[in-house]
Amino acid sequence: MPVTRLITLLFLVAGSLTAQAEPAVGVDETALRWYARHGYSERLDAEMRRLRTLYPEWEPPTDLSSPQSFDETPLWALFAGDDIEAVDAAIQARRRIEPGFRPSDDLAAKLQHRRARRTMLQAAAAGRPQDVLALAAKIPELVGCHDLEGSWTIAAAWRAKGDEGRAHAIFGDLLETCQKPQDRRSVVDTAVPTLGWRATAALIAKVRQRQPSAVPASVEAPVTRGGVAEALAVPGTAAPDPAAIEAWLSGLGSSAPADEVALAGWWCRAAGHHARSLVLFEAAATRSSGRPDPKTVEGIVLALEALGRRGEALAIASDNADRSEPLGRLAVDLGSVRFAGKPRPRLDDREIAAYAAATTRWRSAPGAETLGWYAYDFGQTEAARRWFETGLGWRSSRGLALGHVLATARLGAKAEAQRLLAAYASEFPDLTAVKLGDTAVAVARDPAGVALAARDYRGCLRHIDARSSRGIKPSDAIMKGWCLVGLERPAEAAAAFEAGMGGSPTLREEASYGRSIAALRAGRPDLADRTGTIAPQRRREIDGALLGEEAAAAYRAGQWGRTLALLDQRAGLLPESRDLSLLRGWTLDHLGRHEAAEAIFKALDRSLSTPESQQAMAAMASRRERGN
Amino acid sequence: MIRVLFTLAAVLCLLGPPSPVRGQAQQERAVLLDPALWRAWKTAFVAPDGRVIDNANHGISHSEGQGYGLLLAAFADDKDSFTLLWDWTRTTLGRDDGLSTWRYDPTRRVPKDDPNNASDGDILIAWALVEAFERWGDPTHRDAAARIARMVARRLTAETALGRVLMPALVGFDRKARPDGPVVNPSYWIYPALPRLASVAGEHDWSRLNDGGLAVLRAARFGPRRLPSEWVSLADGTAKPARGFEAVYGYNAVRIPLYLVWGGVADREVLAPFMAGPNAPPGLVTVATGQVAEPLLQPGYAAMSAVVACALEGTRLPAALRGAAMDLYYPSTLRLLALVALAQKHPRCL
Repeated sequence: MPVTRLITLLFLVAGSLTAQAEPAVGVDETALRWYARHGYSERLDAEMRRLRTLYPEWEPPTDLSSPQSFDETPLWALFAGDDIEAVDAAIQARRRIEPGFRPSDDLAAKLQHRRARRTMLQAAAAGRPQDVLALAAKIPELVGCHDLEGSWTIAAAWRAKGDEGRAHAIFGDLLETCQKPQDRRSVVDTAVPTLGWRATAALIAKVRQRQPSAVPASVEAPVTRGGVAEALAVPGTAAPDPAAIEAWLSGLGSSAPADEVALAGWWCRAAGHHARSLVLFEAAATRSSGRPDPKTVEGIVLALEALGRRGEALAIASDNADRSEPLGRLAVDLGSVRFAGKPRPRLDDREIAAYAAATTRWRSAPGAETLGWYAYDFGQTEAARRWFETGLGWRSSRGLALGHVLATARLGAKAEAQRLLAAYASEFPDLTAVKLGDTAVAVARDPAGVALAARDYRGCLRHIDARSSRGIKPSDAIMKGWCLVGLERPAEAAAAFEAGMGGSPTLREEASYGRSIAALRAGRPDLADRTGTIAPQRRREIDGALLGEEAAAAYRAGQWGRTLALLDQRAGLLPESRDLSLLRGWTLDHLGRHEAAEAIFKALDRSLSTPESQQAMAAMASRRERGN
Repeated sequence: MIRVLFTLAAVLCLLGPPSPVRGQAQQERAVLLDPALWRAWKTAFVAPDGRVIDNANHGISHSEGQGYGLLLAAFADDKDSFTLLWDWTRTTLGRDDGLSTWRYDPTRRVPKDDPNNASDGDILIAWALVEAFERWGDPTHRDAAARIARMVARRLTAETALGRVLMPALVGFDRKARPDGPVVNPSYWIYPALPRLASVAGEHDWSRLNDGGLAVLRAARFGPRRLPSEWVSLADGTAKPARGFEAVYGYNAVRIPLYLVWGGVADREVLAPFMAGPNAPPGLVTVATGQVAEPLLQPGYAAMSAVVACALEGTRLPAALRGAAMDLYYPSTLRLLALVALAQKHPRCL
């Protein structure tokens, strides 16, 4: 601020200019005192006369031997603007008139503190926590409510040195001592990303024990938000207290940022409150600057779909299909409804081509199955066979396997069909019921059950809802529960299982077990029924399914050891499915057990060669060529 | 829904001085409508309770008029009037779903005798609410706009062979309701509004709706003057004048060129049919013959072709179209909207 500096210097050096504007106030006595100290009595008298003439009300000072005490206000103004260099320059300028000039003790102490703080922040920015702590030890004023940024810098330095306890103590002291609401809010806002929400919640609880009113509930939102985010990201994590969550949700005003509102939407979805989640996702979309985040759009689509508004869900998914993989997949998944019907609708070729392109782009197994059955029903058996085979390479399902077998049989390759049937039967035991006769096979079964077995959870839900308009049967309620588990809507699944508790003892047993699974999925292991009243085979299936999903999650998180352990645990219960065997192969590969991996891929490729197994084999071969 | 204007003896207005708003168009929150013109419009057509009165239609009101009033208030930066208009619109025409009942007739025992909406009215209101939010920052305006926009996108659009189209209302125009359905009205596509609605309901692809409108216009070129009829049937993937409506380029259709130019359409091929020539004075046209069925004498109508002339030829807006004197609700409104459109898109024509 060169202009400010200049003005300040002028004011300090040549105060008489200001004095002329305001007589009797701030009269510049510099010259007077200088003449007095150096013994120029004639000049002293002349100056005295001059000043009296200029300022009739002026009272000459009695002690002329000391320099004029001057107003420090401009120095403080520079100090407040954090312009330490300007303060120093002003002091130097003053010293030229008055050698030995010193600012007041107060200003001097504050200047020293400010310099130390600056050095400390520079040390922190340069990654030297040791220097930060050394300065903090020397100057205790660097920490406290008057300097939150300084406090946080020191807490971060303690953490960097591995002393979490000291870092926590700093935040605890601040929470206890800071009185201004906005300061407390900043402390909590900073504590959550620094210490984690759980530690912050513990700190708040501890402070409240000593001083119940120290932390008002209104500043807790970041803690709750952190807890909700973690509970959603890591299934099974205990979520914050429901009352705190409700307070956070209802406190989301019109100025809450889009990402926080979207997080609330995901929470409500997980809790099965789809109407509320839709409102929140839409609000998040409205508040986004520019196009809403694809994840938020996904939330809107999923909420509409859960509310039975599939047409709207499909339109939005289609509008955004190229924005993210989940949206592309949703567009394919929801789009299958256009191919459904008895008789099948004859769709426009362009529409089919677009759907096929999207299916291929996103490697969507449900899309491939939709196209496979559509082609099959129109007698285009070779096209159908190819779609089923392609879909199996992406992710196996009972429906794809059955389609592959039937299409192959209809093309006249009976022996091949029989071989496929045997290969798939290990993964889908009920396929052994399929008899390859001259005509295509009917496995007469409940359509909802068929859909559930084919992992077409949405179709399953549609069938059950359609026939339950006047109340739901306990057996249907249970099936609905499993469909909802498949759709990752555990809270609603738990409610469906609850509705299934009114049936026969056998059904009650299954309902009770389903409720437990749903509770586990909802991150509430405390609600799971651990009494072993469930038939052992059923129990194995369900435990196996859970372990399979956990293994896939561990794989996605890059936890190779854990993936392998979960797969082994599952293998003790159920035969390994094709997709999990592939997962096992890649896990072993990541763990450096290349030969074991290759053996698995080889076995998979021998039993049924798919693009997936071929790709794995090729990767193994290229590794061998590279010699590593 | 169908505009029925009484043919009144032409009321020629006294012309005022040229508008002083020139040159301010580039500013985001600029006053795009001369406050003197806005005051004159308000005095002529807005009742003290915030109801916009259509003085050529027995003093009724409609969602379209409220939408135009809200837009003009926003562009004139008149927050108090905006609030007055919005309060009346919201509380009197507002439906539970956020859309508005299309008509209000104070002379009837039940003033809102038809609960149906009109999608152009809804789009205008939503657009005005977005403008209001961006000017004055009240999030309730943004949220109300978003609610309307989502209803439009989800309940008032349909997929056809010509792409995504705008249905004129919730009831009465689709395949189920009419043998020649879906029936659309090309003048309901308010092109400049669509990107604004995208800013509050961006999960929908509003550009597809925009493109669908242009596809309908390209397909609906009837008769020697290649003009669209008011109501267009899209049954069988082709465009034809809809049954049961007079096949005229009528009161609805006259604003199409304004919306096109305002929406940034600069394609000569799309705009050319709407340009008035020496042999084509402003008027309602029987599309089959290309003959003027009824001349339109109020200056507001001339502003529609003047906007096209500006966009295509850079022709300045005639001074006669800038005055503060108001005659009938509809042409006066179109004229003020044209002034705002040019201030935004082609300030050199002002």
